[in-house]
Amino acid sequence: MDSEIRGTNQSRRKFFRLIAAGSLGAAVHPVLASEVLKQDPPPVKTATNVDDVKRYPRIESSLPGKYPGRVVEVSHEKSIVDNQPAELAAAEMLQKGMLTLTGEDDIGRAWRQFVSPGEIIGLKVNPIGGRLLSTSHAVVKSVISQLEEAGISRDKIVIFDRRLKQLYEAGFTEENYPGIRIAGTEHVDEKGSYYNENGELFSLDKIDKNWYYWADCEMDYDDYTLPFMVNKGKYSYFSKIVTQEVDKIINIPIMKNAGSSITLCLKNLGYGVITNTSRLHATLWAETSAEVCAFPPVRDKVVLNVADGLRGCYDGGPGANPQFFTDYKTILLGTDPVAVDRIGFERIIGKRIEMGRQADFTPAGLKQMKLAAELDLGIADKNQIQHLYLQLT
Amino acid sequence: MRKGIIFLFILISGRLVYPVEPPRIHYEDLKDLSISREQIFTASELWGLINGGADLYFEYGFDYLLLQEITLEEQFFRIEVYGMNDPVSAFGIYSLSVHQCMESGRIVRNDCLNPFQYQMNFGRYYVSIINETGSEVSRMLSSEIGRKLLESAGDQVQQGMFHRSGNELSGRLLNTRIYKGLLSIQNGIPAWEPFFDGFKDLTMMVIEMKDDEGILIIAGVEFQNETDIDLLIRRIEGSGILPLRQEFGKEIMLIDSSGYEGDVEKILKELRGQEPMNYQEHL
Repeated sequence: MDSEIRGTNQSRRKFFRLIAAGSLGAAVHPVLASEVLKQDPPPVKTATNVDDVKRYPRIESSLPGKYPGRVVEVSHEKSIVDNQPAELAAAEMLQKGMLTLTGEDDIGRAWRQFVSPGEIIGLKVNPIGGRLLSTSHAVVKSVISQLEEAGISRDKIVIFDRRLKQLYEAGFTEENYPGIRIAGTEHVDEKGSYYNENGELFSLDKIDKNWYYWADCEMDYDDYTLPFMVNKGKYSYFSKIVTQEVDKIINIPIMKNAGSSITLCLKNLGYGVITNTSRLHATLWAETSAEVCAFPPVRDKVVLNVADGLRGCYDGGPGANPQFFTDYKTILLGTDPVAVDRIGFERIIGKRIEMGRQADFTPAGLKQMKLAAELDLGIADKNQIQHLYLQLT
Repeated sequence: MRKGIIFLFILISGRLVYPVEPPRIHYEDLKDLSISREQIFTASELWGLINGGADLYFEYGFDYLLLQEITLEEQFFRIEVYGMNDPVSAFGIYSLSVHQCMESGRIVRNDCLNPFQYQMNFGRYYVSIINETGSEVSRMLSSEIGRKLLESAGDQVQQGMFHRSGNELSGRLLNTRIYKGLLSIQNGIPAWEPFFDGFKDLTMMVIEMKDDEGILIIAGVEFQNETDIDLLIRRIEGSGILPLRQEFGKEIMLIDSSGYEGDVEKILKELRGQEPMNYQEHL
């Protein structure tokens, strides 16, 4: 088809034809499926090493954590002020939400259900939308402030993602977060280079080859792309940030769509802690989101999910297309990433439907949640989720 | 344009010229301008910029992105000029990216103004101009930037540009989109995703019309082989979508009237009679 479009000097060419009703008798005819003999081939699932996780017994902190199926949704009308996420409101939302989630009446005790002084706490944010639509500083700073109230010192907190450069672009810098370490698997030096003086990727020192997600698919990467993938082949290695450097992880994604599905807790973890991800999008998008979370570095360390929905999007995600931004003015809290995603799915896809971007909820959009539930990472059945709602003013 | 059996064309110029110089903002274009970033991303480099979001552009047919970040009259703008493989791809990604425009047709026929974004499609380009304030001043400046990009494009503006012609169903046209694969279908018409799973190299134009009787969806799909059409027909059985097929060829028309209570045949005849949906080369 492209060759037609690019064709030489033929003045105009039909590219595409649709036949009008008035001519149907002559040119086209309705078709019954029974006329078609060809059978739909059975789907072939790309193999992965997800069964390896069975070798690692679950521990007390394993997902879905202390409160399986419980999701606290906190909304606040004043959480966006002057077109910006408001830290004051975010802090109040987080505090009320944490007390509700845990049943505590003291915010320090609420947080200490999940973290302890002396532990290294990783905050997995999502900076992919740059300064336009990344995890908000209002929410991240509120989390940090309340961790401090719980006795976690700033030098024990790490804000991390795969991409250090994007963290900086989104404003997650040492300057904005004094005393807190900013870390990315795809490390860059102060000059912006991904390579050390020996011409080796810094990131090769940042991955842990003892932990990997293997999948029977691969993709070649050019020289420009390789620093963003770290390695080629059928292995995606886990970042040392999650396997070695932090004791606990607080997952702080942002509420975005991904087509008719969502990119929230599971996706932020699944694609955010491993290398060599582009090969996985085409055939294993949902599987990767779910299965990577089943490996112990994620499964046993993620203790809390704080889904930032002050501002999110209902289309154009995971990128940042401003006309699809929407102020959900909400935060979803829970230890169970599957349940949080399930409620987030209602909100995000509900907004898509409201705005006319799709007609109805589609089952395919729930796939990563269903897979994660099958891996005992949480509850995907909406009817089994304890959904607690707080409206603040 | 042949009157009669064909009511929907995309007519593509065969005189496309691939420019060495993409449309861009230059210092001399605007007063009080500073350019803080200018970078070109080609082919898979887009992954480095937007991760998995790049896949949709690859599906449509991505050539390069020129990214500029500028400050104009103390306002920040992010300008993205996507050079796609051809005008169909450019219109496709544009058609999927715009929604509920405040205004359109300001500078080129295919443009869309929203508080935080101004989007354009001309030739083989899809352009996004993002501002951070959503103010009227920012919107005005966005338009000015768009105008300068058009000037910068020069003759390229005239090459292969296509658009919807006027008099389209008396204002009943809701959307016209072009899809180039499963990802775009997932984004734009997700209910149809299961029907198209596994197909490669398809192109689909979908028009959605809305009137008092509901919403009617008409699609034309071009495949690369006839067996895919057979599979599609089998998959949509029982869905309420009517397939209409030529006796020979790799194209099929789909009509989804499940949300429409009116007379479908009358609409189709009206379409044909008015030739309202011609896509024309703009020369």
